[in-house]
Amino acid sequence: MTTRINKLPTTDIPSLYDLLIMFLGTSMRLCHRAILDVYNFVVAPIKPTMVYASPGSNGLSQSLSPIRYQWLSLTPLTALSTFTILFPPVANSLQNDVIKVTSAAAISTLTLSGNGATVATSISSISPTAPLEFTFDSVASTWYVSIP
Amino acid sequence: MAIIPQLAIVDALSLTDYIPFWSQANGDTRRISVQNLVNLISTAAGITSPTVYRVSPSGEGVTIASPVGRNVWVLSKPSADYAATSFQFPLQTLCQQGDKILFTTNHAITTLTSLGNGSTIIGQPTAMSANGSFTMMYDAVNIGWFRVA
Repeated sequence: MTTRINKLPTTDIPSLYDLLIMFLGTSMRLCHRAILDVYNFVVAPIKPTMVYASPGSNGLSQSLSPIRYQWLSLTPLTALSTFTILFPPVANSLQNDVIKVTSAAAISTLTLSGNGATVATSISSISPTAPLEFTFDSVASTWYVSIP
Repeated sequence: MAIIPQLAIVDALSLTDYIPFWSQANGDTRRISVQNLVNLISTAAGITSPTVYRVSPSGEGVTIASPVGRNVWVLSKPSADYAATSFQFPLQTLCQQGDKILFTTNHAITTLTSLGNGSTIIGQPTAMSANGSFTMMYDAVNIGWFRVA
């Protein structure tokens, strides 16, 4: 039976779990995907992926994977004197990648290691009231401070 | 009957175009406008235009009503400096990962108190200068609002 799309009933309250029909260009076949999958595809570059670390002592570090937009949430048990953030490998970082960093306690000496890229900042500490954000420029292979 | 790759392609979708979909709630095939699909995704992602709370009386505490919008702008625009005011965050059980609140003021606030309403508040300033601003974002794992800007 064939029904024109504009003759189908409408719905006022769609759900992210409702299903869309799609044609996959890579495998040349039809499939259905939840609207939630489309949501994740669209929103991934603009909604941060969470990365958590709770360093319990000085001298520790946190390595970051190449993710388009990530939020490193540091929750040290107490204020720290030293901590290192190792940025994603420069070869795997893309134009406009964003790293947001917050810390629930002060870190007086924060080392930012570019992992092959330059981190263009003189910032060397972080506190709960002074979050950081860096945006990557692939031409200069440099992470720039986008929120000081 | 043509299969999907044989259909005519359009370079520019219209918000009034329709897409067929399977409705889980109704158990049948329905249509949704591109506008409604965009609304569904952008609302879930918190990328809608912010819900604005305008506050003007001097010294009045600010309470974000629940349920909270995913994206909120508290626009404080009093006629003079505040000596003290408070800022009550949305009820924790209604907050979602990535909820965002921007707070701006055109006059100084000497003492700013935050009321978490079930959430931990991390990094909110205790005072604001004229034309100052800050942004808080909710993290569901830590059950807390973190200052992100």
